[in-house]
Amino acid sequence: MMIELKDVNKTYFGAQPLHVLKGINLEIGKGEFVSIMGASGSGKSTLLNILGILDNYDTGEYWLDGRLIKGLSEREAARYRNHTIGFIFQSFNLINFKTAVENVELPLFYRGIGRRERHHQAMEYLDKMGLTDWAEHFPNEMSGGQKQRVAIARALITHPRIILADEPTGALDSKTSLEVMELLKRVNKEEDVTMIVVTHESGVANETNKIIHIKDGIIGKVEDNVDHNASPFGENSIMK
Amino acid sequence: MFDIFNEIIGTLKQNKLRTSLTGFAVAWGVFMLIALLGAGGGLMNALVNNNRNIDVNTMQVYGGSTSKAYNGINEGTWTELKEFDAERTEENYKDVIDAVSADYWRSDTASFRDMSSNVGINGISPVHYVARDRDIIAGRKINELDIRLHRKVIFIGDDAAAMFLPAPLDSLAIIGQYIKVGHLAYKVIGVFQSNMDADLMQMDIPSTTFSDVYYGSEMYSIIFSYHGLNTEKANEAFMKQYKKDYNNAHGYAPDDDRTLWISNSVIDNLQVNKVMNIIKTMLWIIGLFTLLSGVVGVSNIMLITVRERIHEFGIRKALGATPWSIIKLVIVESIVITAFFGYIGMICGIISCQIMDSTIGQQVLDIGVQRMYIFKDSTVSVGVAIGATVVLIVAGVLAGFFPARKAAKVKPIEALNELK
Ligand SMILES: Nc1ncnc2c1ncn2[C@@H]1O[C@H](COP(=O)(O)OP(=O)(O)OP(=O)(O)O)[C@@H](O)[C@H]1O
Ligand SMILES: [Mg+2]
Repeated sequence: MMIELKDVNKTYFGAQPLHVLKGINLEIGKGEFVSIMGASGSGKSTLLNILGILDNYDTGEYWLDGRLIKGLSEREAARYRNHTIGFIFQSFNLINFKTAVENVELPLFYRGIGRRERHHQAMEYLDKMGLTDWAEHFPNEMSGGQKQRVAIARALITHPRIILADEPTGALDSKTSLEVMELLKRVNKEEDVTMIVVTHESGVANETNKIIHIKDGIIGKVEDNVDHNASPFGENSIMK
Repeated sequence: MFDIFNEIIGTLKQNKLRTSLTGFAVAWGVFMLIALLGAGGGLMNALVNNNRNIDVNTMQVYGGSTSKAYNGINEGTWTELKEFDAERTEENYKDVIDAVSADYWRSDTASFRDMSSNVGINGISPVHYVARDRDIIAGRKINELDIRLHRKVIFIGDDAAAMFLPAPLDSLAIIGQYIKVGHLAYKVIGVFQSNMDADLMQMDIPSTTFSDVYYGSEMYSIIFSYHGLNTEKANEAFMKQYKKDYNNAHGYAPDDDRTLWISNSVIDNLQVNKVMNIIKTMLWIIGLFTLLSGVVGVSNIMLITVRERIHEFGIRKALGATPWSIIKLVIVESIVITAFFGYIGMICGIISCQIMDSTIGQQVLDIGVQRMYIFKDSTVSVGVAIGATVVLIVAGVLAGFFPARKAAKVKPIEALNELK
């Protein structure tokens, strides 16, 4: 198993304590391509952030690639984020005063790889995303789809074991969304990366091989979707 | 390191206005520090220069007047120094006193060819120059041999030389000539820089010669050099004892301390040192506080910067940035700002010190008895420059540290959720 959650609980202690994850049990295998669906506020992002070690959980166990993720120091957590996990965000989260290629280089910088090698690899990945000509452009000079492809290149460049995407198509139109999903699908196949996509668009979920429904902080139905016919709107279509 | 530098240049360019404002605060702080230290150094160098002889331990004793009636002597009686006081001084304090000079003074008429003038004649021995030096322009001073041989030689000021051999003539040609003082001829052995004091032109002759010529003259002062009295206390004690012995010898009240007036170079020196230390400390304090306000400025700006960049730090953390790498980023940025603008301030400060040195540093204040520099060598030393560099880097680290720690502590998810 790549990911194993055992009775994971998470409460936000704000003005009023909010029990968001109420005992999550979940297993995701190596190389799987799954989506997490659920209503707004059901705890999808919270779950994904815990999986990405961006946030911590209160009780339960989280096993990542056979190792228990609990009480890590910030340094160890940083190492996991750099080596094992790749992130794709709805709002892209590119650094806007860095060019596309510099953004893609950044994870390698934190891995201590030299400038030339970093640049070389980043250009390679931008090329894979069809963005060679945009390498020297700043994020605000690019379209949403292009930005998300830069972000995907940045997530892939460290050869992570899992990629976590929180509504990667949330800010994109349906055509671009489809392109991005095709890209993720290809990456999942070619690079054998475990891919977890949070979405509330059934069309997007339909592109994945397994759909996990979360409701009020617990895992509901888990659908196998190898045939990609979960979407009521038909194969290969994304309805917005 | 080069990578970090690139990162920082990138972010600094992002905020040109803020960077330059912060930079100005730091540059100004350093400029003030250097300029103050330079100016203070100039003042102190001038002070030292004006008291050039303070390294030598000498006392000069003058007569005074009684401050109390005693044994039939009225209060307010003028006291005199006598030949035997000089002898007593030489005999009785051998353990501390090295050499004694009895100084005599009177006015007389000096003439050369058809020029003549009333002048002040000092009968002195070389010890006098230890305490009250003269700047030789040409020739030499009175020496020990002159004293022993009762030579009729005379050491005159450039004012007198210029009077005897006026403008078109070379006034220094007076050396080797004979001038007349009273009814006797003296050979001019040297010319010194005169004190420009309007009263009387001064000339030195050997004390022994003086005694021969002006027999029975009143002694002007006793000057002696001494050793072994290193503290203010020891000096005070010695002076007290000296006065007491004098009073006993002359039949004045033993505890009357107005009968003699003693100028003591060590005590003057200690006082000068005290004043200098106070000035120095004040300057450092003012300078450092000015610099500190610059540093607080940087720290503040770094805090704001960190807050603004918190989302970016979140992204970096998600990509694998360790807390230490974030701290490094902020601190190095802080150091770069302080060091870069600090250097600009330092260079401006050094230039202004040079300007001070070449303008008011060259001015000489004439206060009659002495020529004084108000300013001398107001340049800062390499030591101060290195010290300032160290202070700058430390300041940069300090200014960056707290904001950096704050940045590193934020949980990545909180940073990411922070609005851009
Ligand atoms: N940092 C936080 N502090 C307090 N409450 C939070 C915090 N983050 C999320 N929540 C609350 O926790 C609940 C779950 O949030 P979460 O972001 O996981 O939902 P989601 O399923 O991703 O919703 P959406 O589809 O709208 O993104 C929500 O009610 C939200 O308001
Ligand atoms: Mg969400």
